[in-house]
Amino acid sequence: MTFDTLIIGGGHSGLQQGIALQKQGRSCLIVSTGESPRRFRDPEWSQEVERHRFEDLGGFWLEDRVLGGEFSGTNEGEILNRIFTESRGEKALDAEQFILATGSFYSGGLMADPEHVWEPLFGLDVFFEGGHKDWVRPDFFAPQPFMSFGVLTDAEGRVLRAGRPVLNLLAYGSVVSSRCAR
Amino acid sequence: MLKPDAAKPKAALLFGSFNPLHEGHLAILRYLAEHRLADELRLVVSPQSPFKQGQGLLDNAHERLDAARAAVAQTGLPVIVSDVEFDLPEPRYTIDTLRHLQRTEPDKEFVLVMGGDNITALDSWHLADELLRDFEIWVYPRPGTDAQPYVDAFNARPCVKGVKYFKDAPQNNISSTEIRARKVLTYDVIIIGGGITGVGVARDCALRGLKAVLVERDDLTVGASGRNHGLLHSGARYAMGDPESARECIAENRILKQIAPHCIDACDGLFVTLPEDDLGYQQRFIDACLAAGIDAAAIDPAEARRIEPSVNPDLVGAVLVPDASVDPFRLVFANALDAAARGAEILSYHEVRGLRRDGRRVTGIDVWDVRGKQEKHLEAPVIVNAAGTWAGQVAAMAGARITMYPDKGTLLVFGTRINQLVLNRCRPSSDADILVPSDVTTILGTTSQRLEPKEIPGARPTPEEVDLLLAEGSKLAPALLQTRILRAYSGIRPLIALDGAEEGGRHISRSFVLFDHESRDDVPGLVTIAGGKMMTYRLMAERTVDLICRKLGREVVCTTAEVPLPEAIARPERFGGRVICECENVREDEIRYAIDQLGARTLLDLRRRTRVGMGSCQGQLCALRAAQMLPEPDVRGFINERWKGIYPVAWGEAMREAQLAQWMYKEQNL
Ligand SMILES: Cc1cc2nc3c(=O)[nH]c(=O)nc-3n(C[C@H](O)[C@H](O)[C@H](O)COP(=O)(O)OP(=O)(O)OC[C@H]3O[C@@H](n4cnc5c(N)ncnc54)[C@H](O)[C@@H]3O)c2cc1C
Repeated sequence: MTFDTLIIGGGHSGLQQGIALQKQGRSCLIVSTGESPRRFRDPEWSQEVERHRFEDLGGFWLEDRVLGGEFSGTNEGEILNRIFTESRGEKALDAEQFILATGSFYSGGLMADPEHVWEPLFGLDVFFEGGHKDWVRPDFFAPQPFMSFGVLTDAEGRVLRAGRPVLNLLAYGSVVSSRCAR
Repeated sequence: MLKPDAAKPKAALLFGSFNPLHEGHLAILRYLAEHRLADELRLVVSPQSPFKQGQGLLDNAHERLDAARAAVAQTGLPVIVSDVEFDLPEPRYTIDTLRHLQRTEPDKEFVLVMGGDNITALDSWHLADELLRDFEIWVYPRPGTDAQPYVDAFNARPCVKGVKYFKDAPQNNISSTEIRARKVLTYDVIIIGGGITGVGVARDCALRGLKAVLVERDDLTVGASGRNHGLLHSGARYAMGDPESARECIAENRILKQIAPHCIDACDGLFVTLPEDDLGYQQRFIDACLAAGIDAAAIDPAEARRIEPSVNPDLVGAVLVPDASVDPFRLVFANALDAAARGAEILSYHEVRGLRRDGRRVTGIDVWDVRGKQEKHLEAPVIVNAAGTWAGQVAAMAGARITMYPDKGTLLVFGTRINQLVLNRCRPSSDADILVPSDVTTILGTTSQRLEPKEIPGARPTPEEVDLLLAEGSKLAPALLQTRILRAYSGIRPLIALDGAEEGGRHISRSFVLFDHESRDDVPGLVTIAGGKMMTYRLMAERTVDLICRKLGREVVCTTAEVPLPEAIARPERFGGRVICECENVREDEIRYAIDQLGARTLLDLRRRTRVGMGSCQGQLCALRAAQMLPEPDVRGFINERWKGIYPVAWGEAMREAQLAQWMYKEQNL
């Protein structure tokens, strides 16, 4: 089975992209694990319902954890060839186009230790500044710097890896730094 | 109208909480007696929940009963003071009590006596129709209400046994509510401050038969007593530098393990020497411990690794000591409950605003009842200042000067219990060198930072302190760096300058100070007890109450070293209803119980009583849900309070919570 687009993360943004692409006639696979935090912000939104909409449009859903991927380099940038998942082991998944929609800290799309913020699946370039002291403000209701952290993208929404764009990997949703979000 | 049973003797019943019984009540009883209107007069005292504190002057139901009996006895009136309602199940409606009396004393006819102000609302009483049908009602006049139209209206109804109005009975202008606002109450001892020191003094007073009242401006445990490390020191930490403190600690350590085993995890402790430390210190340390009476024994590093797998494997020396872990909340509430059960009054949310003076003597306090929104005046021959960090301010109200050295300490709570034994560094005391297991968590501390008094209200943990704690603490137990941090918190040590001493911080004695302001400042009536440690509270209380007894000329010996403490807050095992807090499994009924019976009004009150918001979500999911049930739902304040603990540790798991909180609470208009 081959797919036009492989979406990593079946939360709010992943499903939105999947539904939109299915409607355009592209065939999508969503690989996802866990619950989306969207329900906390929007009690009307249901992951169940959206997932059924996506599947009714012909989309495929795989409950699995993505562990990483394999890249190759070209002159213009990098290409993500395939990705590995927890339960498929050696049987990697490939697609022409990939979409990263793994969410932010809450969903594990971003991780932090006291000094760094990183994107755990592919080691993508991430926007953050300083160390943990600089990420938060003492007043809860003040703007919190960490809320703007996330992966960096180029003008076309492609993620960057060591400064070079990954030509077939777009990012959507809260994994993307609000500085780059479109 | 049903015919009254003329053959039966009539018992007239006056119901009330009698908080306190006053001239208005006595006037009506006198009137009924003089006119021989009934064969028997009874005052039915209604108990109130022991936890509904601060509503009246006499918070203990048995005290109200005794006070009513004493007042009636003084008048010589033939009145029986009845405690029948004390044994009836809740809710106790008047009709239930009347029915109960009918059953137990079938040969009597019962008449209900009430004030003209009560008859106006009689229709809203439980089973009012039944009450009117089966019982005669006597109404006495109350100023400001004309009961006549109501009495007439009731009598005009069918099936009403009869409502009598004693229009001409003498009226009395006073009500209990007014008296409460006006009256000065006297006690043997007033204690200011509801931390461990204050509740310890209150319990000791109660055990020695002194009539004590404790006033706390907020909730119990809001000061250092709810924000410390929970270490039941063996004294080893002080053996080198402060042998007097060390001896106090080991003696109290042994006593508390006996009298409060349910508050203590007797886990023992290790003092470990790391490669960077001076191993020569260890022997001197052991010698000092033994000299202070502390069992301290060197054990092989391999043996230390076996009994405490989390310890830094590179250790070069270890000493086993009888350190333990103590639950501060349980210890405070156990003392408070036992004090109250033995007759002390505990008034939380009562702030002392001034001390009453007679010349230089302190004779009482002016206290603001925060929730009842009224001023009260209490008097006693001895007033104990147990206001912790704020002791200087209280003493200043009497013109006495005490120098406090407020010292901030910050601690980190980890989401799992990393160590089984308390872990200390075997070196001169320093920052971040103690790791105390606390139930299923571990607490690392502490830092030490001198504060100016004006900095106290804003004191909170900072990210810099957290970095220091982790850098040092992970040398004791490297696993700390991989363990989820739940939150950070800070407390303020109420260090106090010894008279004549100028230096503070760790160089001040950690022992306590008991000032008799009569001899010290020529201010009779005031005593200050401060400093020390949570775990020496019993000794501090003993010394304080010894002094009070001498002042009052009542030589009674202290028994707190022998009389065990009761179980802390007895919580009904099973509560039903919707789950409100998933992390701690707190259900709707438990929250209702905390509101109705334990006096919780805000989310922070609730957290201290039910653990709502203490779990891994740190209140983010449950706060809104619980707030809807509370009288004072201060969600914004609660979230800011929790944020204080999360923002200094904002990475890893805490980052997830931080983000969730931002999504949930920023997008709403709180
Ligand atoms: C970081 C830290 C770690 C510690 N670790 C330990 C430990 O491991 N083991 C140990 O034994 N001890 C420890 N301690 C010490 C211990 O916490 C304190 O010594 C003890 O709790 C002091 O109790 P207290 O009742 O005197 O003061 P507090 O608990 O502060 O109580 C004073 C009370 O007075 C009230 N009050 C103030 N002004 C007024 C007023 N005008 N009217 C009415 N009420 C008023 C306050 O609201 C407060 O509740 C630690 C302290 C800190 C700060």
